[in-house]
Amino acid sequence: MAVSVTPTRFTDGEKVDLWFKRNCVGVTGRECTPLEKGDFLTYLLSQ
Amino acid sequence: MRAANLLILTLTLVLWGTSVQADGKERVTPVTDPATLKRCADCHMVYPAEFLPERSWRALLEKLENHFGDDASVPEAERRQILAYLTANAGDRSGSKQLKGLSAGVTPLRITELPRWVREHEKEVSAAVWALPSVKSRSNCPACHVNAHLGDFSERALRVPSS
Repeated sequence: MAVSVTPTRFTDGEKVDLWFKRNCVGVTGRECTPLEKGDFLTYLLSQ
Repeated sequence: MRAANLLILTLTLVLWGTSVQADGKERVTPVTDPATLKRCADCHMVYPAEFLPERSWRALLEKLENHFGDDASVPEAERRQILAYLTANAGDRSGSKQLKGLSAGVTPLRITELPRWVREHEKEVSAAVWALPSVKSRSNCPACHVNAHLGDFSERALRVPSS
């Protein structure tokens, strides 16, 4: 998941949106807020 | 000598022809539609369209938000394309023998619910094999059918793992 391992991980915006929806709904039962998505991306960009 | 050679050649061709034919019975058309390949393969093997009847594909594609417990939603344009492809090539459209014994009033959501699938697997595959980490799920065709992605489900391309 980390960008340092896979630089193209978050470069396809449509794919990122799709998987945020799938996984947020799958894990929390609802879509994530923009803040939550930003936190997640910030963390993975720093790894 | 010549006659014997000819006989052997003839027999070889006949036997070879028979095995190819027998093999052909367990061959299905692998998915070719780009959207179906891309979206379905995100999570699992891309099951051949003829493994389910049209009504089943409709039911599955109507509720991708809850696809066996997971959100598998795809953009609407692609969902329509996938639905069109799978229904046009569904097993009841092509008269596939994979649907043999399936009642018209039943809409299976799992390929593993098909009477023919059950008949082919339940006695032949032991509980120990189903429980192997490399198998794990009945939906994992390629665990044993090594050429499943090519639509080849023949015995010849069957490798049941032992551990």
